[in-house]
Amino acid sequence: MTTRTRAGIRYYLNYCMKVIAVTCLILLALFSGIAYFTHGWKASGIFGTLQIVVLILGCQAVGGPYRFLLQNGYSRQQIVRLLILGFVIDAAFVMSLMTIELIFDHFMAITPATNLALYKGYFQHSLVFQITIVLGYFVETLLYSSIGFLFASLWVRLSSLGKWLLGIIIVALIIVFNTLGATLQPIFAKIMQILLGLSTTGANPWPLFATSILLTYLCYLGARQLLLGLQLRR
Amino acid sequence: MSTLKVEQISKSFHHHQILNQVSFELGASGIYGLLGRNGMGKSTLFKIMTNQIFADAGQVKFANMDIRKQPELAARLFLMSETDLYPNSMRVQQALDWTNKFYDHFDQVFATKLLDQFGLAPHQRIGQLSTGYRTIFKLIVALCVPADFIFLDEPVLGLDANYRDLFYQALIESYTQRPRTFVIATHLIGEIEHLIDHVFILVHGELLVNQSTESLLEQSHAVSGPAKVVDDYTENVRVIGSDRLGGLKVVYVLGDLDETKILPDVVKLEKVALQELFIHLTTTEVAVNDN
Repeated sequence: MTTRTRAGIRYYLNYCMKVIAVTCLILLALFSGIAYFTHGWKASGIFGTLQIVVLILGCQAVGGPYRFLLQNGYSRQQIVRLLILGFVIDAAFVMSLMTIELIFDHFMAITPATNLALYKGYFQHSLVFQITIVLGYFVETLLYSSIGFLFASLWVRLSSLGKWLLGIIIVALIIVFNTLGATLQPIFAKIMQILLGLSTTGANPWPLFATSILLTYLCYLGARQLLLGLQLRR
Repeated sequence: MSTLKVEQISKSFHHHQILNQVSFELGASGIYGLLGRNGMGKSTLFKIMTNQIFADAGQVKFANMDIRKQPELAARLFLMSETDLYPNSMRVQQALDWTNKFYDHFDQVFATKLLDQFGLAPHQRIGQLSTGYRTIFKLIVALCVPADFIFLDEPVLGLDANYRDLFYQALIESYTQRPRTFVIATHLIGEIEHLIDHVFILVHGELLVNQSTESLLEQSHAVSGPAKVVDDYTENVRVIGSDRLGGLKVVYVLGDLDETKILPDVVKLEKVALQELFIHLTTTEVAVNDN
């Protein structure tokens, strides 16, 4: 490993740790706030929201170090390779949050809201079910991280106007889904049924895993292409 | 040490051609000047040469290898860019420490000396520095990195005369200690005239001049005197510009004078300063190339 590679990894890890530390503080504040006002302790929902926040904040780790690494003689290919490390860190971070969620759910006697709980009936042996749950969490984590990675890569490529437009599109989508929720629900239910393997023959986790892995790979490829094509403005 | 070849580089932004088939070669050591008016593609060329943006056509070769295909070569080229690529929240000392980790032989001693000479506080955050001090910070990094080719884009932007002088001294000191290649793009041509060995002049995306400073200046003449006499004397030579004040005229000539003509007593012959030559060349756009 060359001096440059070592320095790059150290710089990147340092950056990621800072982002994660800031994210944790924000999450803590958010979580305490929500818990205080709702008194509901609906941990699953809260953690679900937190995971999205983690994705958005965690993926800042893509844009920040890119310019500094480029300044210090890193090529695009080297930077993208390094960013995969961030992808893994982000995955580990999301996974640890999910684990906390599981433990929290267990102690609060809340049925895990995760889709994976639906597969309980599919497996006769509880150990196989537990293994599938862990595997499922791992696959879901990879998917979340890759979406974050793709989102971050898209974000750093966009101009200021593009960023505003993307923000408006996201808000518009949220409004549309809230307004037309009842109409869209059957369509999405059908899509989710296919993706989650909830076919007429019974719940089957493998289609979910296969779909998640495929989507993860596509997101990674998309992010990689976006980052390789990234160039500093004139 | 190897040379850096720029081969047929073209680049356009939003259908506007910035660089058009630019080719030249940089030697293993020397101080070059890349001159051009605003918007002529100097910064774009630097960014392409350091792999920060991509050319539409052409390639940059270092040791006969395409820099885009050999990632490790990027470490041997350094661009001190007008654009700030350092995180605003980073402190000056942190940035130097990180740069030190990236480069095996970063000159930390020289960096500390320059920080002291320029009066730049190491604990200050980069985002809080003024334009001048931000330039100073970037200059210090550029002069201390052990890269083989260092590109300085507007290295004296926002610097007062004292700091500019200090920078030129530091540049010479650094170059003397370790000869390598510096390419300077600046609008303060008069100040770098005595520093640069070779001149490139970009006009409308094309390389108008690619010549050693000495030979370029040797070929340039300012012929002054009564307008009629000057016009007669400079007939049939390459005139790149003229100034007129009443009955007196100064004609700027690039190239050899007509040796068959005797210099009239009332006509004065002088050398032209690089800045003056640049102004006339970039106005008349006469193609000059010693290759």
